[in-house]
Amino acid sequence: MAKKKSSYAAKHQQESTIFSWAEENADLWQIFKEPYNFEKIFIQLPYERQMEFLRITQAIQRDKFNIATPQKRKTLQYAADVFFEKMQWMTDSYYEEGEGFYPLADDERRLVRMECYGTIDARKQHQLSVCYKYFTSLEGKGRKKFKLKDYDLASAPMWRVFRQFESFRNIEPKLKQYLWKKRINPDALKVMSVSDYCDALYHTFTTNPKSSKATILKTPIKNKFVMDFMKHCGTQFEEYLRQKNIDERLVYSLCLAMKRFGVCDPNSISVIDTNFTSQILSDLKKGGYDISAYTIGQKIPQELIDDVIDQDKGCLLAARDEKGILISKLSLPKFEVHHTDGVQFAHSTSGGKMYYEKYLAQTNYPNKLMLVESEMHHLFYHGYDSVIRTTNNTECYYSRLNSNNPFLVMINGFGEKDHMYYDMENNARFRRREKEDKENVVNFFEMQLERLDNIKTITAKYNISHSPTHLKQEIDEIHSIIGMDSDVSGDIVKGLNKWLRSLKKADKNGVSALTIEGKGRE
Amino acid sequence: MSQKFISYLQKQKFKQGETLESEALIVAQKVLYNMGLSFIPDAYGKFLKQHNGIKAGDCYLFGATVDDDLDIIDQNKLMRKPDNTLLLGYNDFDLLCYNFKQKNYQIVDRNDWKVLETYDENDLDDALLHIFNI
Repeated sequence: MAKKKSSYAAKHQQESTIFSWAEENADLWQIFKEPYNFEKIFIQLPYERQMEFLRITQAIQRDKFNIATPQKRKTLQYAADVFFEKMQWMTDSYYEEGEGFYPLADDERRLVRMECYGTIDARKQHQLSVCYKYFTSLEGKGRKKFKLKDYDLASAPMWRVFRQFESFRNIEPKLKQYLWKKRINPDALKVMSVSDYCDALYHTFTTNPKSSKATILKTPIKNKFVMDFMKHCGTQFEEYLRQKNIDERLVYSLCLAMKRFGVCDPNSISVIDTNFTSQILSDLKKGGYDISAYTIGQKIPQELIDDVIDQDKGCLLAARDEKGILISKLSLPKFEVHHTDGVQFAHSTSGGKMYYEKYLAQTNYPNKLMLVESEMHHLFYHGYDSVIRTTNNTECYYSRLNSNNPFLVMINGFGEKDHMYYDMENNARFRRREKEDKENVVNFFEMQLERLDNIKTITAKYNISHSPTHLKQEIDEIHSIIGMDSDVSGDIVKGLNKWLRSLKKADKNGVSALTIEGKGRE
Repeated sequence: MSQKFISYLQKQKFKQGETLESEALIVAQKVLYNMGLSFIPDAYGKFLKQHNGIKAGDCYLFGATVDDDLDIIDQNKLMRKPDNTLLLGYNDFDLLCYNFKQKNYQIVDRNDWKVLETYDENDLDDALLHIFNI
């Protein structure tokens, strides 16, 4: 007997040619046959088919389809480009490509991510600076005790990079407390790198030292955005989902999770009933709840729902169909949070110069985030991303699909009805945040230089051994980015280079300051 | 093997592809090879036997599955990625790639393909944890 072919094998057995595809996808092929009727035909298609059409358009644009003749290829590629333009028009977006921009430094990008996700990963030893390791290695009772007010984080160069974000300013007191309790010398703040501060934050917030990450923000920016969206547009959003004929219980559960926790991933949602059923009452009873006051059909009180979910017993309210089978979450749209401005382009420090109209903290601002259906997010909004950069960052090329409208907060398809608009930044709370953020904008590279300059004095003060080669690399890197345009920076670089030369000279003469693992004194 | 990651997963809510069929893995290897990419690295293949493609939050790991979002062949055809790499998954910011020239796993920035972290062939566990972290 012939062995049944696996469904995966069946999926990939056919060669992808435009012709075999056209035969199987007559509805989509129709658009290619009548390109001038694109809007009319495309908008009538179900969402899944629209996505399939987008997939094929991209494959043609990227020449990933086996098309018989060059002439046919050219014609189809032209059509695909036109369709893509029309899709941009339908979604209030525009494709942008350009060159000559300065991408964000890795550390700056890391901060944007941390604020967005609200978590921090444990740093490895090799990622920490020599000075930080020196100051943290001085454990024990004999360690000098400092005053809390000695920990002036607001003037610590690399922490100033963190405190450009409101979220990091808010957790500053806890970090201060941690450093004080650990009796870490306040001089360390002047020389700590971004990685060092990450390590200190990880230890401040970790509840399990074996875990690879710690939660630093109770409500990360991403979740906060979803919660704010529900606060302002929740009713409209619920109504929109209902009009899509999605099961009432699914709509209710999704909106509840979005409102309470800022979560919109169906995998993290318990689909619950809205009214008591015999099954729910019996489950609640088994779960130890007093059900005497409740009757079948009665609306489940919000307080009870909140309590059950807080106790992580959402399954007690699990919605079932008439056969007693749990309701599937498959018909729920999967939403994700999208940065409308590429993180890469939040350069406050392009070429070492400040552009105050653009600053790092802006990347996570509410009008620069939006909810997008998952497939559309990856296929459409990120489907055209590319950044190519040269080693010295001088000739960078990028392409990206940008949103044209900062008020677009939710998009679930190409039709006008699938878009929602709201000005999330039009409130006093946001304006205060914006004002404070602007006051705290710093130039990342200038902060780096300040830190390196501090290393010069701190290593001498505590006799900490340091590798001049490693420091030289750091200085050269910054110097190549900011150049000698700024007199202040130029003077610092000159001073640092002079210091490094003296260190190297001392190294040749075997002076102890350059021993690799030499112990300092405090 | 990815034990640390698998035990991490046990505490998470996620969606996964259908159970891996050995024929599906062979098909995936063949198609990827014909696309000029490499075979699925051994450790990742073993991992797929336990979890054939995963979606949790904004994190995706690909497998030999009929689910288009998680299908390693479809995603390697569709998504932009650095040369000489096999795309194994991604999160909102980064791609998880296997560099078959250098024989290591790489965490690559989604936008500019800058290699942010490199993990040895034996360190799949750490690479998977990274893509699920930040």
